[in-house]
Amino acid sequence: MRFVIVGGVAERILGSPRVTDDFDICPAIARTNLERLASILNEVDARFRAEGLELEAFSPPEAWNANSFGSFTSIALTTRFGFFDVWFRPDGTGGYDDLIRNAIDAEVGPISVKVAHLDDIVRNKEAIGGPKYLSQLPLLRELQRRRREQDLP
Amino acid sequence: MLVVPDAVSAIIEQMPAWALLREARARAKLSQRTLAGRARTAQSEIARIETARQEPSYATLERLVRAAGFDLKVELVPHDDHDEVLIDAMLALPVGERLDSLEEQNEFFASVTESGS
Repeated sequence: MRFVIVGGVAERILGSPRVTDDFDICPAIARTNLERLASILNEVDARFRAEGLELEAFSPPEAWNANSFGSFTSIALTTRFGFFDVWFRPDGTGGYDDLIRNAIDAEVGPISVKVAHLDDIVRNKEAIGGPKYLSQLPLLRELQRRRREQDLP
Repeated sequence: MLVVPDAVSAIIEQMPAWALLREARARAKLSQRTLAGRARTAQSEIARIETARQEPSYATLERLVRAAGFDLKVELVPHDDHDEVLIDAMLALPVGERLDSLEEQNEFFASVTESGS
């Protein structure tokens, strides 16, 4: 499946000390890719997670398939492996095709993954706005400075 | 009088002017047009600032935030290098270890939460 890691795990990979408990991705929206995503969601028993009701989960009306995602811009899920959020069009970005242009290659053990560029992560948080995300910006800007100083992308 | 610009840049850096204004307007539940009316300015100026196409002066930002019902508080505080130290420590780790330590932290938090419930 083609996807870019975004959110807290992306920040962590890029060097942020912030702790997160969910895994966020932005997948390519080509139908074959959505079929792969649906297949994975079925494998990990993905169910809807509602804000404020994180301990409850709501099963989809039918098994996940490429049509399940409809016009969602994002879906918050609970899986066997923890919280999993799928962002089809993260705020302030044009989605996968936009993020993949500046994405950074990272090796996580034997796996090679694409991680959203820190500039795009900042752009995303700025666009979402609100105290929760805006309060994360000083740390991310400091990380941007530190990465630039070390000639990291 | 050099103190004020430094303090201003510090707060702008933490939350850009456009974000501050957007946040103030959202909290006050005002449209751009209503805020513009209160501040006796054009709606287009609010729009330019909120989309980062115009960087307002401190006086302008203070006036707009005031029109939304807030004061812009600026203060000098000693620099806190906590984030820098943590970032440097994290950047010194290989990527895999950054995620391993995240997993360890989450397990620790889970155990603390469970023991407390």
